[in-house]
Amino acid sequence: MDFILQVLIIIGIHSILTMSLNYVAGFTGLMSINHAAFYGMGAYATAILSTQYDWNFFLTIPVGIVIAGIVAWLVSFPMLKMKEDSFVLVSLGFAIIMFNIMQNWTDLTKGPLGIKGVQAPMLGDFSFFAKPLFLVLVIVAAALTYWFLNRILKTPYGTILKGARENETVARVNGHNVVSYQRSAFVVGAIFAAIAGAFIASFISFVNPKAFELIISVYLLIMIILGGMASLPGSILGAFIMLTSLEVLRFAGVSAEWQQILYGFILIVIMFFRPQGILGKYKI
Amino acid sequence: MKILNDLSFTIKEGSITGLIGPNGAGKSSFFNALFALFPSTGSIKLEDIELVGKTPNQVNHLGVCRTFQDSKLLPQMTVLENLMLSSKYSETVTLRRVFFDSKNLSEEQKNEQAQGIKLLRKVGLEKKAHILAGDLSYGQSKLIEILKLFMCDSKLILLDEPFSGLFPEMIKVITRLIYELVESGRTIIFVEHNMKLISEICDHVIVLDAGTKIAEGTFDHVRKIPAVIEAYLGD
Ligand SMILES: Nc1ncnc2c1ncn2[C@@H]1O[C@H](COP(=O)(O)OP(=O)(O)OP(=O)(O)O)[C@@H](O)[C@H]1O
Ligand SMILES: [Mg+2]
Repeated sequence: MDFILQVLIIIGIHSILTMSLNYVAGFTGLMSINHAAFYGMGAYATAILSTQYDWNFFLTIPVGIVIAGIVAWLVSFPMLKMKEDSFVLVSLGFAIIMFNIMQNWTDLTKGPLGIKGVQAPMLGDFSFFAKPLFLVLVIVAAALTYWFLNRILKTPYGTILKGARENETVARVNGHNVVSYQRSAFVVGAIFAAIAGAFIASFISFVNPKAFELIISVYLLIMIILGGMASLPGSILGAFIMLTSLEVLRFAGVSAEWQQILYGFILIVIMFFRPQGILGKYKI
Repeated sequence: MKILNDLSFTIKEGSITGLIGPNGAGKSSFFNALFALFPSTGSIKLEDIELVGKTPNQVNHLGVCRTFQDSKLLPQMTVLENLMLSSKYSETVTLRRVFFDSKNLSEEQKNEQAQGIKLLRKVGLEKKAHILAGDLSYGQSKLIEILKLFMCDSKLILLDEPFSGLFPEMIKVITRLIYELVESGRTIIFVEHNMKLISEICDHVIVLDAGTKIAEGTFDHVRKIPAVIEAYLGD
């Protein structure tokens, strides 16, 4: 039971990541492979403030949001000068830089050793340390993420984001300042990744750079491609399938290397047979 | 590389001007230059406002809308979404309003969508509102491109070969829509290779060849000019 709760919590946190990544990549068409960097910023903000300054979990979230939001806004200027393939490469460069900052700015992050002892969420004297309570909190956060993003996507604002994804020239000729919409989407995506980061830091009470390296962003992309591009329910489904199958494989004694090979294989198979994913509305 | 040279003309408000010339004359390039999709020097003025140096979305906001020679509907979006994309209203939807003015917003959005459906009904395509634009036939997508122009609030409309590849019945439908656009106060420049259509629809004709204007006037006037005959019949 404890184990199932743990898996559900991890799936919930990843749903926040995949929904926000889908907002950026599936709906807006920005193939970001640095989502884990913003995830890491949120996690480190919570970890550092919680362990060194004894901040309440709920107060650390806005700090992570502000840091990730500002960094996303700043890096969006050079990144959005690039289109499509070049954008992916610049995103890769950014992911590498962020990983190295987490790894090497040891005064702040303690480097590869990571930060231990992150506190559980507390409201007054009430602790969410118990897994069922933490799960409720994560479900509330994921539901709010869904509500927030879905709300945007149901309006003409969402139509313009999709228009920018489909054809920038047409969107611009139709009167839309494409880059400012893309920037807004990128910042919103980063903010939700940071929120997910706060939860993971508090849940496993430990952060280290490996949890936010490039391959994590790639896994998130595989989840949204599997579940469905440009579909919020698909993002949750993708996280659910990938993470439960991971546990099943681990339980069956499949080694980590074979798990990775399998995920690579899944990605290739989807791209060939169902490029829009299970619930997807958009083919890359 | 310079595509257009020494090109100068004036378009009268409320008129339909035909822009004609052989393949590669620079007709589409002129539209692209006007829309800031190609870099250009010189001056293009809409009423008194300079368009050169603006961005494509600014040109749109100043009141210019266009179609492209090859259909540019967005295939992975629905027909209605394609219409909504060109509505000026969509630009007023900010994130702030999405969350803090949602009541008015959804009201307005309904009206705007109803407007789109009404346009589709007018041409008998209301059943297609929610299918993907990529699933439309060629002629249907050309028609939707014209309907988009009704959604955008414009003074000047550029049409790049709106009739090419269409069945005669569809040409009639689109001609009627073009007249409607003019009646609602818009000015039109359009590119077309079919001289019969040009002579029927246009008040004024500009002939381009190799990036320069070689003639201008009524259709009956320009068709008799030797340079035009030569450009059309070849050497
Ligand atoms: N992006 C571009 N870069 C360089 N040259 C271009 C570009 N677009 C068009 N040209 C050139 O400009 C010239 C005019 O092309 P344009 O498309 O404007 O012709 P057009 O009059 O619209 O012809 P058509 O009737 O075939 O559509 C052609 O020689 C073309 O090769
Ligand atoms: Mg052309």
